This record gives sequence, C-alpha cells and structure tokens, in this order.
Amino acid sequence: MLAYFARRAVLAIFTLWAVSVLSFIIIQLPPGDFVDAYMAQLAVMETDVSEQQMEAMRRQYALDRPIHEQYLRWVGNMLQGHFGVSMLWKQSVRDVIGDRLAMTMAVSLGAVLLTWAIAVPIGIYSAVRQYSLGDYVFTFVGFIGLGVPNFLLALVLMYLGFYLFGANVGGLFSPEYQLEPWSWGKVRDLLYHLPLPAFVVALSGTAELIRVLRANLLDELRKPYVITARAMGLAEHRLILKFPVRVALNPFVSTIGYLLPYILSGSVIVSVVLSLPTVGPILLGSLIAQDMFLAGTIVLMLGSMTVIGTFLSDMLLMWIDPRIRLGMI
Amino acid sequence: MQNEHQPVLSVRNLKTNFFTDEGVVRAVDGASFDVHLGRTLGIVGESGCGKSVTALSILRIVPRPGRIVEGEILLRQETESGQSQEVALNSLGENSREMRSIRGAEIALVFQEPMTSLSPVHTIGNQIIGAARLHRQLSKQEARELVVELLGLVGIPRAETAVDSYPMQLSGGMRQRALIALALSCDPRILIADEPTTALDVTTQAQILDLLRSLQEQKGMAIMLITHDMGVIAEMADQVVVMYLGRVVEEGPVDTVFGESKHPYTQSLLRSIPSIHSTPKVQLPTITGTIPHPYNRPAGCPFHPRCPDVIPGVCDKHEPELHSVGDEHQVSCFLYHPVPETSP
Repeated sequence: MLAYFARRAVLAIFTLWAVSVLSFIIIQLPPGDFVDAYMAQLAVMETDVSEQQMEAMRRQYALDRPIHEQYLRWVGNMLQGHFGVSMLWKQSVRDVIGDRLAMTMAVSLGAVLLTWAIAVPIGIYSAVRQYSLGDYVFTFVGFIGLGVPNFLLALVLMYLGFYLFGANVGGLFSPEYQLEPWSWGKVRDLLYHLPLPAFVVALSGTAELIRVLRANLLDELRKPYVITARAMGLAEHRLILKFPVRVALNPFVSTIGYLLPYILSGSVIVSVVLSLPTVGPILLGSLIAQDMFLAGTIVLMLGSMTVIGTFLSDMLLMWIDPRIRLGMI
Repeated sequence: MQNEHQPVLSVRNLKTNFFTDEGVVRAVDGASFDVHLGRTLGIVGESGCGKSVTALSILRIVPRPGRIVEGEILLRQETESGQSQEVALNSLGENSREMRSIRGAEIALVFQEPMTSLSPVHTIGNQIIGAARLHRQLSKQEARELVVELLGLVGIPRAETAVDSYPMQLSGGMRQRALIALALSCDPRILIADEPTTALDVTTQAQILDLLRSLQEQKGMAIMLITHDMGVIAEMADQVVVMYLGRVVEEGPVDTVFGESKHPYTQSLLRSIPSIHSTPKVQLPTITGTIPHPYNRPAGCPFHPRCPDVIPGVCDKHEPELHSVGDEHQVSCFLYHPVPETSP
C-alpha cells in the first residue's frame, strides 16, 4: 500500500514537472521576449528607448541567460507565488487571477454540489425503476440537458429573466455591490446570484452523471450479491443503498481528478455569456491576446490541478475500494 | 413439537411466468413438492428447467418481469401456544414486513456463485453481522462473536481474522463456506442451496456437501438442494424432484427414483452419468435434441420431441399429470397412466 502511494506520488511529481515545461514552452512560443513586447508597447506610445536600456532590462529580467536557467528562475518564482506580469492587464498575473479564483470556485463548487445532489437520487431512481414512466421522463429531460449547449440555456434564461422579471441575471453581483469591499450584504448578494449560473453550469454534467450512474447501477443490481442480500430479508431501499449503490459510486471517485481543474476554470463560454467574473473568460482573453504569462500561468494551474486531482482520487479510491487496496498493486 | 410427518414447506402447483416483450416464459409450470425438517429434498434438472426460479419464488424475490401467477407456497410455523399454523407465502406482499421477517430468518438461500454472491466492497463480517442483526436482537459485539463462531462452524480457519477479510481474499471454497455462514446466521429452518458446489472443484465440492450434511444433523433443518448433478443428488437427497421445462416429471424417495425410475427423462439423465463400470473411451449416452426454446414449448408433454418412448398421437396432444406409481413415487407420463378420454 505504501509502495503504491510512493509510486503514485513520484509519478505525480514527474507529471507536474512535464506540465511546467509545457507551460514554459507555451510562454516562450510567441516570437521575441517580454522586452520586445514592452518596447513595442512603448513605441506605440512614441517613447524612445536606447539599446542600452533594453540590454539593462534584459539583464534585469535575466532574459540574456540560457533557456534552462530562465526556466528554473520561472519555476522558482512560481513556487514563491510570482507568476509574472500580464501584458493585457498591465498587472501582475496574481492580481488579475486572484479575485476571480474565489468567484470561479464559488460557481463551480455550487455547480458540482448541485450536479451530485440532483443526479445521484435521480440516477438511483432511474436504475431501480428501469423502464418506468419516471425513468422515461428523466431520460427524456436528461437527453435534452445533454443536447442543449449550456451557453444557449444561459442566453434563454437571461432573456426570460430580463423579459419576465426585469431582472439582470448576468454577473455574480448587483451593480451596487460590484466594487464594494466584502461585507455580509455582498455575500448575501452573491448567494442570491449564484444559483442561476450554478444551475446552467451544472445541467449538462447532471444529465451525464444520471446516465452513467444509471448504467453502472443497472450492472450492479443484477449481481448475485444483491440477490443474496435480498434473500436475507434486508429491506429493498436499505440493501440498494448499502450494496449496489456503494459499488456503483466508486467509478465517480475517479472523476474527482477532472473536477479540480474544472472547478478552477469554470465553464468558459457560459461565464462569458453570463459575464461572470471567473477565470474562464480571462483564459479565453489571454489566449486571444497572446498574453503569454497569463495564459501560461492558467494552463500551468489547470494542469497541476488535474495532476493533483488524479492523485487525490487515486488515493481516495484506494481507501474506499478494497479491491484496489488489496488487489494487484 | 412439530409433527414429524407434516412438511415444513409445501409447494402446490406453483406457476411462475416471465412476461417479456417476446412473449410469456413459463419458467415454473405447476411444480408441487414438500420439504421436511431434518431431510433433504433434491431438485434436479437441466439448465433452464426452472429450478432456480422455484427457489426465488419460495423466497418471493423473483426478479421482474417474472411473477407468480398461480399456486400456493405454505410455510408451517409454530405459534406461541405451540400450535402449528400455515402461512401462505404466495399471499404475502413481496416487500411486506412479514415476508422480510421470513426471508433469511426462516428460509435462507445459498446462491450458486460463490465468487459474486458477496459484496466485493464489504468485509465478510460486515455482511454477516448486518444480516444477523436484522432478525435477532444482538449488539454489534454479540453479533460479531456469533459470526466468528459461525465462520468456525463452517470450517473457515482463523475465523477471528477471516471476519475482517474481503471476499476476494478468500478462495472459492472459503467464500462458499462464508455464504453458508451467512445463510445460517439467523438459524433458518429451511436452507435452499442453489447449485452450491457447481463453481467449485471436486475436492472442495465434497467438503461443502459434507459440511451441509453435518450442519443439517446439528441443526435439524430442512435442506432444499438444487442441482443439475445426479451424483450430488444421490449423495445428499432423501427425496428427489426431477424437473423438465418448469414441470415436475417425477418425484419420489431417492432410492426409488434412482432404482426404479419411471419417466423416460429421468432414465435418460441416469444413463448419462459416467459409471465406474462403463467402458472407457466410449461416448456416454446423451439425451437427443436440445431443450426447446422457452418461447416455443411443445404442445402436450414438453419432453415428447426428445422422448425415446414417445406415443404418437398421445404425447404431442395431451398434457400428462403427476400420478402415483408406488409408495410416495409419482410420475407424469402416459406410459404409466391412461390418456384422458376427452380430447382437450
């Protein structure tokens, strides 16, 4: 078990390193370096800079050093929380992302909780009462949920909200709280605005989860151990929750790995449509504007989150599933 | 005390059908038999003849789209005043409290697949303790002690540690023993063993059968042993019921059925057992043809297309019924009783 843990940890660290190299390559991809870009900006503002100044700047930012040294510096800075400067925003990347990270997590966590809260009971119901009217209804609604792109749903809901209730449903805050510092009023305002985007983001995931859980559970419900438990006189709902549901939920634990980066990035297009102050639109903007430090940082963060999430879900799975814990490690 | 001669469980004309989109499958089609305390009833037949569905029907856990459509399942219970009374299980609701209090507590099932009949993510102990506490007033600690004792009783070595192991850590034979311990956890009066040894190798098979027999001697319970293996029946059963396509074709005491088998199907089954006297390298006799598809069962006697002694014009037109041909010996075949006068 310890060997398994160690091997996973080593693998995770190796992958993290690979992700950082990849992110660094992305940052280096645009021709020229930061100073060139900066010069170009200054040139637009018709400020003259001498060659000497440029050299001094290159030295200051260590851009004259060999590439591997630059990489090490960059990683070192990263580890200390310095992510570079966003050219698009003319702020440090940290300031650009920082605030939005919390918002993103609020929306995404809300969406994930909503997804599970809706999907798990419906999935269980659909499997246990397979081919019942309820199952067909949920299947129908579920496929619509899968088929409708969620940004479209966002547009429709925004339109309805505006047209029927005269409410502005975009964003996460009412205008009067937009620039206010945090207060209880602002938190309440956030909670008031949160359900709609969370619902929109959650919908397709919910539909998917219902289908997967239903299929998994249907497999398990046919297994002999269910008959054994039933033959012992266990009440139906208790035996279903204790045995097949417990087994059918295991595969979901392994999806936690993908949940973490998702929580960070949020749903990019929905966020743009609903003008949510999350990381998603920033990533989109930085990619379009070739804002390399910002894009690289977000890519690195998403990559790291995937690796960490996978590692966590592996550990969790090992903890809850004896077949993995005791099996062919 | 319960009357020795009164059966603890009587199944009368049980019919269980599966209503599928393709048609109605008559999985059990009029089965009748009695189960006595301290004795073993063997139910034998080819795959798909309705043996397992009979077991599930008695426990009232026939999976959808199956349903009991006719017949009676009578369980004899003792009231507090010492009188015995019959409970018709067929009239209880599938998920009713009464039915659940009978399942496991009075009638327990050992299912055929030791590999998959226990939950892979719960320890053996967890599963048996849960079952024991369902029907008995036991604290967790008491239940655990009981389970350790049971595991020892069924011959699992180092029961104190085995109780915390997962099914995958045990061999097939040990898992079957654990399943038997699970079935015994509430001291049932009737144990239904559905192909308990099919998935096991011959040595383990013999051990499990020995175990079942010694448990029966200790506890005096009735065993209903379902198998396709005539050898197992010969070794274990007191009474035999031979089933074909959901019907009982012959039943009687084991010696009579083996020694003086009447039904051509029973005779063919017995001929296809390898014997120590049979000539080596000679093919065993087989029953000609295959089991008809359940959607399209033959008219008349269901066995007539494969029967060596078929009477044309009779067996394919009329359905035979069980008739007595001797002491406790019944057979359903026109060779032994007259054809009904009026054509159906």
